[in-house]
Amino acid sequence: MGFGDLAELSRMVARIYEGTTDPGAWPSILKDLSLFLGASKAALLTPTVGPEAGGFGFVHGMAQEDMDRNYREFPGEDAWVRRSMALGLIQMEGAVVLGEEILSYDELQETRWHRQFLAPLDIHHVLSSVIYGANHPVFPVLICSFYSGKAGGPFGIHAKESLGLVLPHLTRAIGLMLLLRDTDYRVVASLAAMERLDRGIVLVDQDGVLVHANPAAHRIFKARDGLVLEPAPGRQGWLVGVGDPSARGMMSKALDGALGNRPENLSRFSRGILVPRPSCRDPYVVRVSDASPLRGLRPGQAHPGAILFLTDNAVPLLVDEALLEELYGLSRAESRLAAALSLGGTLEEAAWDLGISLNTAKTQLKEVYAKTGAHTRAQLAKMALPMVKPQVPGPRGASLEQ
Amino acid sequence: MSSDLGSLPSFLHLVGRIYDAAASPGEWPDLLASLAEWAGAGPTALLMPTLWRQAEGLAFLELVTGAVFEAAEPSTLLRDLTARRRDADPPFRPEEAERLSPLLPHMTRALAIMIRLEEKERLLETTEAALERIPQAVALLGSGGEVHYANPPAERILAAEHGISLRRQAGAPVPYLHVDDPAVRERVAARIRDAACGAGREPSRSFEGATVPRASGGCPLVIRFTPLGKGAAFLEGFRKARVLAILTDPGAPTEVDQAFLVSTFGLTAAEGRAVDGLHRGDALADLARLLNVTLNTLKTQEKEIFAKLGVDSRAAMTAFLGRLDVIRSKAAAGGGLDAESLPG
Repeated sequence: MGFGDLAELSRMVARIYEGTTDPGAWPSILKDLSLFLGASKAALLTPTVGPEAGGFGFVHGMAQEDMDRNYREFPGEDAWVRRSMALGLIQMEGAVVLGEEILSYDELQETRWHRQFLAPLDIHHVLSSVIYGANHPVFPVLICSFYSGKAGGPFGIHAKESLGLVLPHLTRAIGLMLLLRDTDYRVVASLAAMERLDRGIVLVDQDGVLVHANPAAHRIFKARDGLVLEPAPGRQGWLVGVGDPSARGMMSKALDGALGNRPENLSRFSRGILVPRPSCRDPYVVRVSDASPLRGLRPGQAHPGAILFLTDNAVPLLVDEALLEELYGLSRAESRLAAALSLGGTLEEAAWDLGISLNTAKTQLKEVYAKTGAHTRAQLAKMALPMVKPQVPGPRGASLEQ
Repeated sequence: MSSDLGSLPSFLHLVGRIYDAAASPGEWPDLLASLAEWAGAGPTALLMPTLWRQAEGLAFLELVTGAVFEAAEPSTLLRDLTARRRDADPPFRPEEAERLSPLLPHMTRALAIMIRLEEKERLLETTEAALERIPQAVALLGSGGEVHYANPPAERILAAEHGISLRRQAGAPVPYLHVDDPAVRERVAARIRDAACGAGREPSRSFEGATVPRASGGCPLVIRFTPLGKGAAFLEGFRKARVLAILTDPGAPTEVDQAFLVSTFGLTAAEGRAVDGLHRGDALADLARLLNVTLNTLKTQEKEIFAKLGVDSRAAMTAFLGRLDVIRSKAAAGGGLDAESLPG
C-alpha cells in the first residue's frame, strides 16, 4: 500500500465520521463504502429489531421500502444473521464475515428469504460486519453489510481486510452519533419534566440571559404583570425584567450571588424576592439558585448559569379528587368536599359551592376525617397538597436562545 | 511521506484517537504529543485555534508543555494546525508538514463533535440542576419502569425502603423501580405503561396515580405518572425516558423553612416557630404549651402570620406554604429548597 491508499482510506474514514453529526448522511456514506469495497448494495441495520420497536436500517442501492419490507414480511428470516447467531459470531463486536464462510451459496438459495427477497434485488453475496454484538447492554444487534449480485460474484479477502480497516471507525462514528443523540434525549426528557411542573422554572446563562423557560414561567411573563422578558442589551437574547425598582435591585443582587459574581452572598437561597404586581394581586415570589450540579462539577466545566423559580400565588389550586378517592377510599361527594376545604375557605362556602346543605357537608366532613385520619382542616390541607393537579399549561416552553 | 506499509495502521490508529478525544477532551494533550511524534517533528509545540469557552469567555488554554489550544473567533473551527519549534532547533522539512496534512480534516471534525457534545451536556447539566432543586421527588422512567433519572428527594424516598425501591439487574445500564407487593407491582407497571403509551400522542395533562402501601403500615406513598411528550423516532425505544413520576410520602413528618419566611415575609422568629406548628395542624392549646407561650399570644401571632402571608385560614396558609416550596420533609434537613409534600 502506498500513499495513494492512505489518502483514499483517510478520505473514506473522514466520510464515515460525517454520519456522527448528520445521520442523514449514512446512505451516501454507504454508497462510498460500497465503491471502496466493490459492493453494489449496502445496509446499516438492526436485523433483530424492526423500526416499530426503535430499530433502523439505512440502505444504499435499494429502496428504503425494500428494507421496510424485509422487516415486515421476513422477520427473523435473515439466513446470514441466523447462521451468525448460531455460530456465536454475532456476539463478537468487530467481527467481519464473508457470507460464504458461514453459509454456502446452495444453502442460501434454498431459503424463502433468498428466493422472495434477495434474488429479486439481485443480492447473492454478502460481506458483513458486526458493529454492536448481541451482548451489548443497551443497543440491539447492529450490523453493516455489503452485497453483490450475480455479476459481481463473492467478495474476496482484500475486501474483507479493507472492511476490517474501516470497521473500528464505523463503530466509533456510530458510538459518537448515539452519544450525541442520547444527550439530546436526556435534555428533551428533563425539559419535558419541567414542562409538567406548575412552578415557573427559568434557566439563565452566566450573563443572566434566558436559556429556557417552562410554560408556567412563560404564562407569568405573558401576563406582563410585574415580571417580563426584555431584550438583553448588547447581545441576542432575553433577560428577566422586574418592574418594581426595589424588587429589581434585589433580583440583580440575587442573580449576582447565584452566578458567583459575589461569592460572599451565600444566604441567597433562604430568601425569596416578592415582586409586586401592577394588578395588585398577590406578589410573585422569585427564588434564585445557582445551577451547579449538586453532585459536583466536572473539572474544567464552564459556569452553568442560574435557575429562577417563580411562584404565582394568584392561580387557584385544584386538588385531584380522583386521587383522593383512590387513596383514602372517599366517596365522590366526600372527595369533592375535601378538595374544596383543603385549600382554604369555610365549610359554609364549600357547601354553597357544591350545592349541598350545611348539615350534609358536616356529615361528609366527619366521614372524611374518619377515613383520612386527619383531625383538623390544616391536617387535611397537608394531606391534599401532594394531590394538587398541575395547571393546564399554555404554550410549550420555548428555547429562545438556543 | 514515505509509502511504507507500516505507517498505515499507526495512521488509522491516530485517526481513531482523534475521534476518541471528541468524547473525552482530556485526551487532547497526549494526542497532540503523539501527532508531533507522527510528524517526526521532535520537541514541537502544536497550536490549534479552536473554540473553547470558559467562564471568562473565549480564552487561551494551555494544556501541557508543547501542546496548546489557542482561542479564535466563535464559529470558526480548526483551519490549521501550527507546529512550532525553538529557534535553536532545525527548521521543518516539507515531509513533516505532508505527514500532518491528512490528519487535519479529522481534527476539524472531531473538534466540531466535541463542541456540540459540550453544548448539549451543559444544557443537560443545567436542566438536571433545576430538577435537583425542586422539592418534589421526581423520576424519569422508561416504559418498563427503568429509572433514567431520579432527583435527590426521589432518591431519598426510594432509598427508605417504603415498599418501593431502586434495583439493578446485572449488566443493566440503569436501575429499575421495584415494588415489593406483587399486586401493587402489577398496578404500578400498568400505570407506567399507560403513561408511556400516552407519550406518543398529544401529551394528556392528567396524571395517572398509584398508591404503594408502606411495608411498615401507615399512610401509603402516592406516585403520579404523566407522559413526557412526543419523541423523535430512531433508536428512541432503547434509552428514552417516557414518563415523569412524582413521588410523595404524605405521611412523612414535615417542617417549614422558617428562615425563608422570616427573611421574605418579615415574620418574627416566634411567628416562624408558630407557623411550623400551625402547618402541622396541631391544636392551638397543644401548640401554645409546646412553644411555651399563652394561648392568647399564640392567637395574636396567628393573626399576624395570616396578615403577613395574605391568607385567611390555616388551610389556606398550608396551601400557600406548599406552593412556595417551604414545606420540607424533616428527614431531609439541610437541603435548600427541600420539601416532600408540594403541589405538582
